[in-house]
Amino acid sequence: MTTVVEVNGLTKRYGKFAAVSDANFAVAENRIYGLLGRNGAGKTTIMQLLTGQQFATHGTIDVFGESPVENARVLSNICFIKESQSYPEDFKPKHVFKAAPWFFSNWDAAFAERLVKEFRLPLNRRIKKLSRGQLSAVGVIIGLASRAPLTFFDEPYLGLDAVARQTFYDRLLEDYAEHPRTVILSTHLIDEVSNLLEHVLVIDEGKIIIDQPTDELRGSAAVIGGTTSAVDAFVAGRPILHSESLGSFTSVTVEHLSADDRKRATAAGLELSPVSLQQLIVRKTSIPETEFGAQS
Amino acid sequence: MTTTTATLTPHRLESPHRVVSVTRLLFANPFQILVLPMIILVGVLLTNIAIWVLIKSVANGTVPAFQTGALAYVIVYSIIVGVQAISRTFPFSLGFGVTRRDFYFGSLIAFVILAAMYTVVMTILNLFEIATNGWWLDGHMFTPIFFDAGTVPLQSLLYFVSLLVSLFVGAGVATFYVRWKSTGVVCFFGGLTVLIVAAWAIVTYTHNWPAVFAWLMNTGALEMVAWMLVPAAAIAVAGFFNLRRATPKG
Repeated sequence: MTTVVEVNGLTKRYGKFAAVSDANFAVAENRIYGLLGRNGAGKTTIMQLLTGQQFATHGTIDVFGESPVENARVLSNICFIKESQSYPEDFKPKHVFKAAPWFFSNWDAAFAERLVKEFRLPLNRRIKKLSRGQLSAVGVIIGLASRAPLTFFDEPYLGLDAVARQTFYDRLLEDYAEHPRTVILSTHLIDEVSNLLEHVLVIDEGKIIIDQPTDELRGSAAVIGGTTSAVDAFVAGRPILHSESLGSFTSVTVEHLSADDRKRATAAGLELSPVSLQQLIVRKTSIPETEFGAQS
Repeated sequence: MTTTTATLTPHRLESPHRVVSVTRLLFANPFQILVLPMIILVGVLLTNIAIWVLIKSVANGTVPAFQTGALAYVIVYSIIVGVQAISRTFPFSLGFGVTRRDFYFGSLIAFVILAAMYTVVMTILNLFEIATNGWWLDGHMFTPIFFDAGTVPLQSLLYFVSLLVSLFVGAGVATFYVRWKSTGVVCFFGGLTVLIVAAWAIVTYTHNWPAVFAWLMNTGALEMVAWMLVPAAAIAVAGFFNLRRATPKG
């Protein structure tokens, strides 16, 4: 495994408030990472620290083996697309795309042009007159067409409709397959991107609470459904992440089931189903589901 | 599992290129930075000519030569150009993976080029003003008596230095905003006011106003503007240190 990012004991304080506290993680090369967490959990701060936009209070950050702060060698390999990105006064999208190749050595103008068409982005309109979705499209196009070895997308989809979001996910996967690179994507729409993510980092109140490959995380829990009495009998003594009842039917989310467990459950007439990534993260972090579900 | 750390491929664009990229970035939308200020310049000139024509037509007998300080509009507008270029392009550049250092040097180079470009336009208009004996009206906007360096080349130098001072002051003030938002700007101007009042008090208490006036009367425009390079350079240097620890907000 080749490591692109390595973070040790990373803490970022604003006054007394710790936006990130004692975070340790590594990011492997050429994978798609999901950085997930609630609003204000510290996702953006982590991305700003990794891209040298913010300064760490404690701890070390290595990106491509070096500190990213004021390091042109490192930063020229990074593209950071932020939800709240501001643009120079009176810039139009065409100015942004004209300038991009001066900064990104892998910039693919033909790809950018194709994305502009797919997102129906008006090139000649002033950026401050663009809709929220069109503004997001500008960022998404830069992030994809720049093909930076390390690309950050911080909630890049705000205001994008479902079709445009799907276009983003499709193009990201396609282009990633042809031009492997490391992508770190922060999002609230966990289920929408769950098929994209190979590895999940969950941050809550500044702490990394989950750092696992997506498949492993998915396999770490299951939903068992059936009559209340049968389910209760089966799950007795197991840690329960979540339980829901409707009439005499109960469904329970439990941690890791062995092959044996699965056989027993099927024999007992229980129904097994995988947990959605979003559900799982919500359960594991005991984050109220509405916090994630309310986003669009 | 063995873990290795990705190393950087050597062919990537590095520092010197990226300084130039920032300079180009500031000219990426030429309308805002080049065309609009020149439209303002020509607009101010036409307004002045219109006023002179008006005065000539209603005045009886001989009218003294017209002198206007309208050039100050363009020079002051350069401060705004400097402020906008820095404050709006800084967070954008960081997203493009530019270091603060490369951003600032690239911007300052852009300002030197910009001052030179404005100077070329102003020099052409100055030559035309001289050739037509003040737009056929004895009107002087590009070499008014209180802003006269003596010869055409020195006059161009006067434009260039004045513009550069404005752009650098604008850039420097903008870094206070970028670093500390409005608190920074308020503190900067608060500090500046204190300095001016202190200087005023010193001159008053030492009874040196006559000496100050004598210096102002005897010093040419070019020399005076050249002196202003000192505080402008100081602000620009302060700007560098402000920006080194600045973070993009909002």
